[in-house]
Amino acid sequence: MPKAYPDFEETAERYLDGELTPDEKKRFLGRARKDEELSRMLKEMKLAKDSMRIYEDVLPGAAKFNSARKRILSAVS
Amino acid sequence: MSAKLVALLKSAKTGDIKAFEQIVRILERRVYMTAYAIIPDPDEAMDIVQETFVKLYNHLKRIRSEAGFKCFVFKMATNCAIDRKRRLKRKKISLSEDETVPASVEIELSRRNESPDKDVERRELLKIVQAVVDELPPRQKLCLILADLDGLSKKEIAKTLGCPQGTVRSNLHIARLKLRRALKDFR
Repeated sequence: MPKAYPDFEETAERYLDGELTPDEKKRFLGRARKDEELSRMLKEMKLAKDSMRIYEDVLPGAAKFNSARKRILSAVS
Repeated sequence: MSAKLVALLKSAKTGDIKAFEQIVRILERRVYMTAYAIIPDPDEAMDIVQETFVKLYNHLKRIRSEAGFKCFVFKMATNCAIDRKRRLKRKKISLSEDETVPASVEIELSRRNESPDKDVERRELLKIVQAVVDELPPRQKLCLILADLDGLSKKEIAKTLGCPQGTVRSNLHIARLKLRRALKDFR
């Protein structure tokens, strides 16, 4: 945790989750960009958050979803 | 939640199968990814998709709040996946390391129009993410999947899991920290 900015990680998570107001966002980014360590930490946090999107790579093709949907609909109707 | 989904849910509740089919089309991919994050097996994940939507159909009339519908579906999907994983463990069917990225997924990944280097990189990333997600305690895993895969807010996750927002925040923070540490040397 950076000594000069103790709640950095908490604020960074709120920033990455889109929870900061425009003013808070401006202040946060202003501080984060000025400090090399904070910039690096923010990049790492963003990578971790974005890494979950890798699951989009495992999506099967449309044909598999079409068959599954048919089975679902025949089970409920 | 989108107005379209609310309208579809209202119609589906009256027995409109076409509306229900549209709901399935909108949510099936997200449900699949959620299931896959818990059981990294394409066939199992697709079975969970089917189980989730059949269960959902049977519960439709009992859904009172349209606002929490998406959360309800993802919670149902995660519960189905966790139950199935438990059953698989009981049957002592263990997923070997090779099956972490099964052959069919390799095919899907290789279909991407990316350079071989990028392809290898993405496979490596998937392995790391999968290993971390697999090791997370249930609540951290759910918070991470619901937030960063399903795109739910902390408030929605708290409602879905029936716990305070502070609990979601701390669980999510720890899960992301573990992911961050595991990815430190990546790239």
